[in-house]
Amino acid sequence: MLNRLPWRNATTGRMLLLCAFTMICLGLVMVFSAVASLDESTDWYKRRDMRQAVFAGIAAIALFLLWRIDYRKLAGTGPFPRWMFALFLLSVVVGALVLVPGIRHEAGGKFRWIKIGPKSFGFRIQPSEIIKVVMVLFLACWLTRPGVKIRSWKTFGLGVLVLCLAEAFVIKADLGTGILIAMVWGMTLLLAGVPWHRFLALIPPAAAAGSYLMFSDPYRLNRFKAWLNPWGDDTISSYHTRQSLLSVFSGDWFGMGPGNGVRKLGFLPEDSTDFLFASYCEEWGFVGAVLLIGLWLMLLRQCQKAASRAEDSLGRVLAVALGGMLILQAILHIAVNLVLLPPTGVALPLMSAGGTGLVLSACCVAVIGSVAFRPGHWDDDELTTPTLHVH
Amino acid sequence: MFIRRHNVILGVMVLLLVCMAGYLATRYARYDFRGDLPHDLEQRIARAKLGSKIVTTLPARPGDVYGRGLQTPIIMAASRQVPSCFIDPSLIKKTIKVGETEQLVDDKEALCELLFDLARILKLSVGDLNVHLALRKEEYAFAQERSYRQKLAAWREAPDGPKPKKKSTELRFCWIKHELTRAELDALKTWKTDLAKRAKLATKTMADDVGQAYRKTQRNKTRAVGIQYEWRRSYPNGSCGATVLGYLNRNNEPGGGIHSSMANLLLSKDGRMVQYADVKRRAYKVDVKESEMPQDGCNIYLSIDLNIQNTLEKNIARACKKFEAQWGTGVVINPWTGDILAMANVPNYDPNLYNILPREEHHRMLNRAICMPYEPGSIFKPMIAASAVQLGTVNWDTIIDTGNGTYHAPRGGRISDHGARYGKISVRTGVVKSSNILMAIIGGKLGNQTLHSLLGTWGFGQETNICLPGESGGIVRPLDKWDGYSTPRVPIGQEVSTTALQVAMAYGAIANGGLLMQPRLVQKIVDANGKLLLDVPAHPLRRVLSKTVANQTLGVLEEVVQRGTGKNCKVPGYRVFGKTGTAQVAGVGGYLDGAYCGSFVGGAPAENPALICLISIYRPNRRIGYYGGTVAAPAVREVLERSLRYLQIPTQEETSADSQRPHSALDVNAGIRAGARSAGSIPIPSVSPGSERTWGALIPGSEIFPPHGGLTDTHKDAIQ
Repeated sequence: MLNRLPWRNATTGRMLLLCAFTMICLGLVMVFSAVASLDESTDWYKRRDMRQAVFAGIAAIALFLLWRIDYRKLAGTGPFPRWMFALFLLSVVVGALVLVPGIRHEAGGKFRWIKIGPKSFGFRIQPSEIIKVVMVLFLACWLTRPGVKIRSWKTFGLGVLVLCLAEAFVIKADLGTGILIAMVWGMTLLLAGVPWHRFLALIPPAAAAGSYLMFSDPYRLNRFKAWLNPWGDDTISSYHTRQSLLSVFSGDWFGMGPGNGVRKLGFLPEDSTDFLFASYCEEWGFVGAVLLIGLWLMLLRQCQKAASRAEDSLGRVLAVALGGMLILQAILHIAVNLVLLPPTGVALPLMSAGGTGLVLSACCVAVIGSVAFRPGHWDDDELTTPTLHVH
Repeated sequence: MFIRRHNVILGVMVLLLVCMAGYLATRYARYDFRGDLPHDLEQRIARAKLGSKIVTTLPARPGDVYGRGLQTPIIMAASRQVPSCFIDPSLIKKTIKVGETEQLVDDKEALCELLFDLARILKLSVGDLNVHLALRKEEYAFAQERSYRQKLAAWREAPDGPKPKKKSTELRFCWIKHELTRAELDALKTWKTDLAKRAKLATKTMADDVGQAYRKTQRNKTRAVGIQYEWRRSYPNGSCGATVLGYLNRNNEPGGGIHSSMANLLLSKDGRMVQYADVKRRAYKVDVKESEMPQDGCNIYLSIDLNIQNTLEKNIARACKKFEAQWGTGVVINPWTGDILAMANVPNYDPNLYNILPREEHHRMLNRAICMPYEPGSIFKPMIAASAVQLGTVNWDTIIDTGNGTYHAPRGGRISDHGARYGKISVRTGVVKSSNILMAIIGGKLGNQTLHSLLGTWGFGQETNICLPGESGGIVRPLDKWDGYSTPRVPIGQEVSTTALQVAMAYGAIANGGLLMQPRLVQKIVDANGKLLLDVPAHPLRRVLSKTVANQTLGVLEEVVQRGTGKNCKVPGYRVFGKTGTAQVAGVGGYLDGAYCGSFVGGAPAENPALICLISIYRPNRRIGYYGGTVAAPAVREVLERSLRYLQIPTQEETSADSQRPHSALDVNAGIRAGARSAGSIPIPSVSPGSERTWGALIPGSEIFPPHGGLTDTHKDAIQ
């Protein structure tokens, strides 16, 4: 007897996976639209849209296969999730590779990627994406062990250590992802049961680090000032902000139609990654934007359902921490695109171009799906369905 | 565990997402609740949309101008598309590192290389190109600076509006060479592909950063050079008909002639192509909604017959050369329709080379036949005499005593017959011998007021409203300025100035049985799609003579050629009629000594006139000859002879051999002539003699013709 619900009857898991799949497809359309204008080299494997198509395929396969694996296998059986910890350390080491001149790859003056494979058709991976996901998985597995004293200072201290490890090679080059990792870390700890007042102890160092990061980099500071006054004199720093505003609001209610956007023709920077939502708004308009937000809300609701009915605390923490990570990233992305936050590089999960992020996001959804497909504590509405008495 | 932690966290996220959707909705509804965003976001969006488009003007093809051949129209002015080369120097830039930051600066080396290449390909001098570019840069910067200063001054006057932004003083466009030849164009294209190939090779063979820099430089160079197609006017007949035709300059601005008067029809609306462009200004796709096809200009068919035009021009030129004249002008018309078959001026110019005509030679562009009024002299006499006969003041056979060759007009000075003593002669003989005294006496009999009215009747002192710019109506002084001196002098063609065209039209009226015709230069206008926009009909203005008197006058004029002053104009086989005129040229304070204007008006055949030709030779060398019968009559004879043969007008013998035979089928004018004749005989509403400004009312039984529907604008003044 399989320890999971059949596809037909698990409404939550099905909806979850279909939501994610819809987003991947939509993202593929947007990436094609954004990249179509660039006359890049004709080798298909060098083209961003073709790569996106390949990675979307991989992501879809991962999405529809990995949920079948029981999420409890992630944690193993021992008192400490050794394999998960090893994986986390490995990801941190990979993250450290961005400091190695031969391997790292520069884009926009930042070293956020490492190169793999030969120059002609190699690909780049973004270690911060891996660190983010693996850190959440490790924390969830570790903190939900029965022996862990979740309310103790020691556990919290170890958690902070984990955060420091994760942030070590990320936050300097990529503040947006660094903040995201910190937020997800806090969320996971909260979910696992760490008392909220523990976090008050972090405010002074966080403030110090934040102000240092903000003021140490004049470029970042200028961007921040330009965000406050996007139509001021500093046209170079406020370029992203301006273009994003123009792009979002030139869409109007119904948009210019898919593929008809103008800002994506090189005006809007990072239109297929960090400013995908602006590009999306221009082409799909307000209606499309609200539909996309609705899609995210639907995904959120499925995560909530999965967490509510999860059999164990590992399932609950995994579902909300991973789902919350994706949704938080989406919120940050949308807020940056709407100029509600200063511009920082946060991709829209499941949609933006970028193989690492896409495949890992799909894996995250698959893990949540794995939680959703396990029979657990059922809500009343789903208890009424007759097929529930399978086991 | 009433409120579970994960529900709280997810609830906050729901709230955030919903808030963002709400924010988006308020912004889309243009509800600006966040004060720090500007209110003119909409304008900015509109401007940004405009900035991401490339608007290319698609120049409309200016219409053709056609003259007539014997059977088919002949192109007089046409447009062809030529490639021209321009550069955008602002694109040639490179990045250099200044400390930490990178700066974009002009790449002077690349520009130099580019200029060398262009000079080699287009066969120009590098020095010239350099100087040209530098001058253009300076000029452009100056213009920008000046406009900025003006705007700033305006803003200082009224500082309410936004402060003007300083525009870039960088030169963005500069012509390198117009009208590239095929070889040059090919060379330019080859050069571009070569550069691309070399750049591609360089990225493979050179070190990474060096190769990149090289590739960028080459790409900038190729991008900076552009080819634009322009419509260029050409005039296949060179100077033939140039003064009637005018020209279009490089910017499609008309320069005189039919090009000026018909500019709005010839030059239609330019089209435009709107393309989306990416940030590097590369065209992406065409915006079909906003793009427009160019509307090509209308084709204009003139009544100018190029063969006759050529003959006329050659003969005037020959006469001018032979008699060392200052200038000469001539008109050939069809008396029945008022068609201008030829209108020539010497000296003239080649409109293909209008731009290299030096400023002091610009008088060559004058169409003297319409813009240069001069005293007609004796060619004026038949009109006055015929009108006097028409009015019944005299008869062709009335005998008038011209005395001994000198006549003292009452309070009007002395009139002489240049040494000849005609004694008592009939009016007919007086006109044939061109007796000044006879005409002075007739003038005295008519009186100033009648004379003045007569001038108006014949169309003198008014513009003919031919479709050409710069037309003069001649000079007829107002009646209250006329005195005793005018009475004897106006009938002999002094004290009034007329244009050649006016006189020719007046003779046309004599030839066609008394109808003064509206001169017709534009016959039809056809738009670019071949649709006939306007077909101008022959349009008689008014009757100036009765048929009888007109025919009698024609007889008198025939005698002039047979036995009078115009013997030089006899054309074998045809009954030619005509009149000579030798006018003194007026200068400041009186007639110039030894300056004459010899004219001759002739027409043939007298029984059914097909052509009227007028030639005036202005200020010929007095020692070689200056009488109209000497300087102009031979030229007129030549023109008539050739044109009659060309139009296949039957000679006298041919006519008498078969009088019933219509004119040759090839005679394009035959039908029109017949039509015009019948137009003369249709019943026409008469105008009451009481109305003040109706010139025709002077002549008993005269009529005024209503204007046709066609060229109302150009015709309407004629009748008033």
